[in-house]
Amino acid sequence: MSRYSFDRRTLLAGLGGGLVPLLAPHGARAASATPKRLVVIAVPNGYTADYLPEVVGTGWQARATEFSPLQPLEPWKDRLLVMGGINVQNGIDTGKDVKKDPNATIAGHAIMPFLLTGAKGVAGPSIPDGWSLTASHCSVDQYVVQKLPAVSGRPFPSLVMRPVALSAGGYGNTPLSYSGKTLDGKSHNAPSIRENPFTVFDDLFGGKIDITALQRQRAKRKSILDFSSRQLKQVQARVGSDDKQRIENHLTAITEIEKQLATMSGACQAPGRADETIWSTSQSNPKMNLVIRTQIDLTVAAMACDLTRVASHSWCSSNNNTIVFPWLADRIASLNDTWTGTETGGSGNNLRNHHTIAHNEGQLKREKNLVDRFFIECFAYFIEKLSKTMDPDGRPMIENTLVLYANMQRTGGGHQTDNLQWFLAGNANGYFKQGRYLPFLSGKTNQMAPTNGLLTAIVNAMGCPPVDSFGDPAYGGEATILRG
Amino acid sequence: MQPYSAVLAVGLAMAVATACGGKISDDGDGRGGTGMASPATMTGGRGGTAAVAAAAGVLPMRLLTRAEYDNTVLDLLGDDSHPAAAFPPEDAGSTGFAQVQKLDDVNIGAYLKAAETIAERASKDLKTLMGCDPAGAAELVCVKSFVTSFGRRAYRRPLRDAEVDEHVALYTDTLKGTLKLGINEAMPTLVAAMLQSPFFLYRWESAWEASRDGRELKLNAHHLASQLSYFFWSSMPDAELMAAADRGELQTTAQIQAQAVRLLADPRAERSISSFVEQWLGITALEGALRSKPGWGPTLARAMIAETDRFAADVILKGNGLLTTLFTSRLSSADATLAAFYGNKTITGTTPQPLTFAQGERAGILTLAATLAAHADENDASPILRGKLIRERVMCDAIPPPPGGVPDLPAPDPNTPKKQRFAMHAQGTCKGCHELMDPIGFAFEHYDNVGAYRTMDGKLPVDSSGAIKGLDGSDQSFTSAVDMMDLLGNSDQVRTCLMKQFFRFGFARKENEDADVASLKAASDAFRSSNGNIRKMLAALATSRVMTHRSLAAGEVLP
Repeated sequence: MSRYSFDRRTLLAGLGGGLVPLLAPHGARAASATPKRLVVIAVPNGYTADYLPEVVGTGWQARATEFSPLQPLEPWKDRLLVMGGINVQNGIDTGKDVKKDPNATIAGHAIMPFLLTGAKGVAGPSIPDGWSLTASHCSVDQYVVQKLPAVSGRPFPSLVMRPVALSAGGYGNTPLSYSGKTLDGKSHNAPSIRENPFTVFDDLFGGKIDITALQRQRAKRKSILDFSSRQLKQVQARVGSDDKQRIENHLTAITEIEKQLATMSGACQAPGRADETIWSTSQSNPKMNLVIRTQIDLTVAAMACDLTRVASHSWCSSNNNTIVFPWLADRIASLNDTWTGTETGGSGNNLRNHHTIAHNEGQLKREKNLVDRFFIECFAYFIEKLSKTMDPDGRPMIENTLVLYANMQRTGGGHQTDNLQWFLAGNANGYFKQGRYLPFLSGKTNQMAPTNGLLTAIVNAMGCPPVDSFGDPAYGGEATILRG
Repeated sequence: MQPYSAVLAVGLAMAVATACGGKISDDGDGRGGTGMASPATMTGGRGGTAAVAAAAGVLPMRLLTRAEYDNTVLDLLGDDSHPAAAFPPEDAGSTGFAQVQKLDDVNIGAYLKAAETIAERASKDLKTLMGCDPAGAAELVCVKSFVTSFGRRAYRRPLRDAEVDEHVALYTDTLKGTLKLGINEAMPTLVAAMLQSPFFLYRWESAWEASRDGRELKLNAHHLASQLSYFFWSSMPDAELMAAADRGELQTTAQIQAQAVRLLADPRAERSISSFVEQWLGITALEGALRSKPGWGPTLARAMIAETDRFAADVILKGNGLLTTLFTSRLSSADATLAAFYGNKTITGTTPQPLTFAQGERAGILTLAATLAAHADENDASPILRGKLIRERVMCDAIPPPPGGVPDLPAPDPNTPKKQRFAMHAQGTCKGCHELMDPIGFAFEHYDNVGAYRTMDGKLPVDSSGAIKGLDGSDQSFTSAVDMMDLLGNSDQVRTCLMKQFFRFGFARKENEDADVASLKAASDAFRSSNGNIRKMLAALATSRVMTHRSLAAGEVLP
């Protein structure tokens, strides 16, 4: 399949300022040849009752509260499924069934490693600031990568990102996406998370140098990597089986990089580069809102160029302890990034960061709604970009891009991982019947459904070899209600 | 009883039934769960003591950590740009110390970009880099001599002739031939290729040239040299260590011991101690931490981390080396920024000056600001995080993960004592684990969310008294953190734990109570008989089987 080529100036316009349609139909392409793509987004810290929409027929409307969290999604209702009554399979298997005891062992802050796996977590290492649970199964996005050669064969099999620099190791800083099994077979590896959007830009679009210099740089890189591969193979014959696997992983990484080098030097032109001052390695970057936007822009551009078909965004950790919102201070002044020094002491009493706002959602309901609305605005921006960027078949990209938006817990202070409300935007060539509100994914009032029904549907919609169930089959198969 | 059995007694005592899963369990990786050694191995019940004493663990390949990478390029090329800062974050593996585990395009790509940048800088003056003039007819001779000498340092072993030829062929056939690069582009590309080589990136050196020694393999001399230098310096061997390996002078215990003493006395040992201490105490991410306190910021955080590094190096490398001193000394050092934080107005400038803490205010490394600030909530001290740190990292006990559906503590109230707010933790299902953490953590209540000393918390005086449950097998009470440091600094359990932590840091894996028993016993004996001298313990590890030997890995083929 050929890559798209398009005019640099149109792409710049699309990425930088106004959201104009990017791509004119580019030759005759059957709709079925248009690639299907998947984006998963995870956000922590739950939500207030204002996040639940009002039923209108089979659809919904946002609650008319101040800072109504769902209001930014109103223009995109036709492209959305709002789904309630979702349970995440929690914790280490203690013999308790999630259907009977949704909070069997672990709370919403430790849920990220198995949010999208459809299977319970397993105990990971004990770490300095907590106890780490990890994944026992692939996450849905990486499963799609592995099952579809057309996806894994892209220069970037997936783009795994988060908009803030977080150190590894904390229980809240665990990844969202998991791929192959670890060496001991007990848990799953996570692809490296890309944080700095300008590094992502350089990786995708080759940095600032001109095409001749770029090609020269790539030829040199290839010679370095080829040499490294030869040396790795010399070692591989001698080492033990665990080390053989390590070397195999290293060789695979080199193959990936070489594929990226070969592809980038061609038709796909770089978009404009955002203002580099938005990036900071601080764990509470005051311009994180702009980093999220840039990462969305890069994801849509990479998908438009067919450099990748799968993306994973975490916004940001599973507790957002360090995430503050100074850009919202024009709407609620206390969200400004200043500390008065007069607040009472005690854990979790600060008014600024996402985690603390969530814990005080009773007293800080306006703040909570506003920050939840902010993340929903980012989600809406994603939908908007995908809706206004055209595929070569002339249809908006969103027609063939699924965007799953998953919150990790129900209320801010309660940490519940049952009865969650998630969103599925976009479509996979008409697979889903959008424009609806399903208060209960199970289809039955007050009956909760595990994530598996939704995740199985995504896997099948993406065109993976059809499966009866995704994750742990004990949690059942596809939720057909999603198709209408 | 031999000295080592005291360690065992601690392990067994720790298995007494308490809450938190029924017992306080240790955090080891081996069998039995009673500490590093099971009674069976000690009495020869499993194959006999002699067989166990001859054992050594496996030595998996591992990538240089970020700290090791930065140190190595500094020593190899004088490049002090800390290129590893741009690498993806490391995972704290099961050891609690950094391990690069991911081998994907993002990570390998980051190494590639670093290699290019470093090589570019190093190649600005080719004559100096290569030690010969590559211009003119002698080009290939010069390239070959560079590959031989630089390769020996970069790969930490002599290159075989065939390998030298492969490198020269890369230069002549590919870089100059196919790609038609001039010297000024071909040379940095060759250097980058060597920095991207698995022989540079992996700690594996000439592992396959090990010789059989009973059931195990004895590392060859250059591999051992590298093991020693990364253990003591977190960096590549220096010329003297490589020369000792060349001459076959890393054979006897006395020879290795002499090198260990030399390496410990070298300033480069401070890098390794800093790296250890920062990870052991969990202060690496302090710079980015959000703390609500006037004056808090990256500058102060960096000053705090640097103080902890200096404190550790002063005690461990330059002072009497005793664990007791590490835990109880009141002598630290500070620059003006940090001194002002500690309430000292006489120290000025950016060069650290000696600073002695007031009696009763602070004592030892655990009461320095960095560790206290790192284990705190945004706007208050956290008894839970601090207690957890001591329990896990200083006492080597394991604490299971928190259960789900945990309710919040009551909101802070300046008129309610903090301990009263935490009363819920002393009841029901909370109690089992929190009684292991909270009482220890409350000892540190004299230090606020950034580690500043205080006597009042809100409107009430601080109460820092309490008791440690199950320290050396019994409950021991204290009046304050300073008082508690005397208990920790003289505890068998803490001494054993610190040894294990150094083992995990140095060998990138948890100790195995079967394979490593002889090495651990040697280190433990040396540690104990020297009244807790950390240098003696480290030197004993350096001459033990875990340093000099390894097991054949499953599936490994020796040439």
